[in-house]
Amino acid sequence: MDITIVFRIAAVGILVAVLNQVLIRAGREEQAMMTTLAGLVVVLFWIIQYISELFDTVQTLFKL
Amino acid sequence: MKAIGAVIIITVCCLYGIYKSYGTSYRKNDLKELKTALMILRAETEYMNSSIYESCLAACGRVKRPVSDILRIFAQRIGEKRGEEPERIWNEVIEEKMEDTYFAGEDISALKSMGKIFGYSDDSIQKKNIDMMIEYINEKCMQIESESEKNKRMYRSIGILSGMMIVLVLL
Repeated sequence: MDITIVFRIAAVGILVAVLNQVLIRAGREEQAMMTTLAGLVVVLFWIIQYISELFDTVQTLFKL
Repeated sequence: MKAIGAVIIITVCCLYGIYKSYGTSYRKNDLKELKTALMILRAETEYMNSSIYESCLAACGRVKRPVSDILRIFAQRIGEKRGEEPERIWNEVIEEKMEDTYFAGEDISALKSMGKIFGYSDDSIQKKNIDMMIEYINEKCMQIESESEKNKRMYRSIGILSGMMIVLVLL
């Protein structure tokens, strides 16, 4: 697994957290929630293949 | 090359954020121009007993674009005497020129509802209608003033942060 993905996820987390705070302070809670969801979707899109690999490994390990 | 691309994306997003942050100021300027035009229309109706055509022609020369364009085109079309209702002509002009203005959706709706009175009522109702619109503009200007500083900071922050987010996703 490429370690840069961890830094990328951390960077998205920081950016989404700051955006969330800025939008909440401006009274735009709906947009803040949408931004958080968008960040979550982006990160999930990146890690979905690793989750799939994890499930495959678990299946192989326990001979399921 | 990646670095240059990233810098360009962040710069463009920053500039767009700054442009959006000034959007409310532009809207306020347009609303103030509209208020000036309405005050002229009111004065023309009250003291000169002018028709809508004459009042709009008088007002369009004394305010800046794009409000002057709206009044000028409206007066021209009324002057053509094609038998159309003033309300319909007013709505058409507003629809055509709304892209040149910074008015928000609610401002456009208020302007269109103002057009319903044109050509149907006596001067006292016309004056009341204009007063109502002026009151709306005053209220919106106060609202914009109270929110402008907060919105300016928000749009600038969102510009920078969204630029960084795009770069991060594309990297």
